[in-house]
Amino acid sequence: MHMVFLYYVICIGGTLLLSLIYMHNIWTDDMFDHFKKGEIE
Amino acid sequence: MDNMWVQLIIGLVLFFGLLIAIGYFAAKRTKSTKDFAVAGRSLPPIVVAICMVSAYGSASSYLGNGGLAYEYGWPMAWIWIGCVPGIVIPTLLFGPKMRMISARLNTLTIPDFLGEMYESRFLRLFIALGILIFYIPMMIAQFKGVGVLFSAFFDMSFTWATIIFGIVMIVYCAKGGLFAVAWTDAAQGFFMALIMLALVPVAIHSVGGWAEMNAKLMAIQPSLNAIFEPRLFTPLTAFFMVIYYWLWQIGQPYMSSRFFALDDVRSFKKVVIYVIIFTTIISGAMWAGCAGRILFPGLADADAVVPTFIKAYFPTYFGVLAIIGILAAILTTVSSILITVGTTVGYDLVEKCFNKTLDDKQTLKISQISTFVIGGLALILSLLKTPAFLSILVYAALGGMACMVVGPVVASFYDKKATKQGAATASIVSISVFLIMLTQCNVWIAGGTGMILSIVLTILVSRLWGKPSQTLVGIHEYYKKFVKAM
Repeated sequence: MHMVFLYYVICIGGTLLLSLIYMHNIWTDDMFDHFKKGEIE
Repeated sequence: MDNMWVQLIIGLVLFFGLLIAIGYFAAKRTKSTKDFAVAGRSLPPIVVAICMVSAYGSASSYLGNGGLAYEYGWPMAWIWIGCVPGIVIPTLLFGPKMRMISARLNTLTIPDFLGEMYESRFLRLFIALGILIFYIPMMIAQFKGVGVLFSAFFDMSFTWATIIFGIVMIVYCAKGGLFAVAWTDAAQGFFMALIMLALVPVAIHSVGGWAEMNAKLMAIQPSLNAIFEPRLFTPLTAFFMVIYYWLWQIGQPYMSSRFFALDDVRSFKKVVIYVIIFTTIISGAMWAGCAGRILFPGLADADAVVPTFIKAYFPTYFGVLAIIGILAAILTTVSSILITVGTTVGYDLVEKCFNKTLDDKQTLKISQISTFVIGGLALILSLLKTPAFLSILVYAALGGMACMVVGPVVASFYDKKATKQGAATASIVSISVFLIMLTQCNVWIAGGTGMILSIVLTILVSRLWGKPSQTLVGIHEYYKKFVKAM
């Protein structure tokens, strides 16, 4: 394996993919509504 | 006067003109401490993202990382393998929560945030003093970087360049607060990205293509084209390097406080995507470093490889743009640090730690004056001969700051039993262990160990000593209700 593959494909690609999965599953509209309310309570 | 000088002077005048214009409009909008410290919580996601990446990068993105690629080849990409997730993970795990809690508790800085969460004046004071001790030498080093840049390109005395550069920056930071810092960082970060985008294809083309580059690097030294190399990027150091950068950002008050300034908690989705794109672009200097190793063997100073490459392969005006780009990289970091130190003095130390009853206008005034005084002091010291202890502080600055902060921050979000005693113990022990280890091993092993220790100690000591604060319990109760509702 080459370092460029490790960095650009596995590291950046993996970070992007996991971020999208995390945002889709955890950062829901409900969560943001709740956070929005939490700011002023 | 030759052509390059004329182009450089025009370029610098336009560059400083842009900074002064942004500073002027920002100063008109800065009417309260909240405006000064967190830009009135009004920054759009693209500005927060570029601001984070450009402050993260500094001059090392161009000079240091190019130099490391020249010296060690592709194994230096381990730094970026740490950095990319290192800037994204804290945004995912802490960004929205931090934004929400800081708005709920009305906290403006990291010492303020930790002081309120743990209800601890000691922790606020200790972290604030850490910011002063570690960040002021960082600013001096960055100011010195301006001089090194000018002397590398022009072989000239740099005193006046440093003074003019320093004064412009200090004035717009002091007057415009985070409004000025964030918008000038965004403009400069965008400019830095354009320079990097041009560097990568030219670097590949200059050595005859991607396959040719690897073959030539192999011929010079096989480790240049390997995953690890035996001098610096060993498997052990690479492991700690990744840990170090993954935890590093959350422990930097000048980085994580950017979360406080975002306009809307929903904007974090955009911040994550922009951050990944810009960090990928900013890492491009390693291509010029690897190409430079083939094209310019035997450079006396490896850090000069990117300027040397630009001089050889780009027209003069691009060289001028690159100088301004590197200047911008230095400026984004030093302005971010300066605004953090100024707010720490005015807001955390004078108002909160020493309980001075001040109205908001007085706090704003003190923050502005302290930004001006500290910036001026750092500028003056940068023109003098650097004492030996200063270089040690610079080397230790970012890792040391992270060791002090990361455990208390992580535990405040994820451990409902975290106590102020646990946080303070972890902060004191971790920074001590880090400084002792630094005498025996490199900053990544010392920093990575110190940061893990900081998290573990906060959790363990909290189980044995003290009770969680009412604020921390209240915040965790709020989350619990939300999770149950889900």
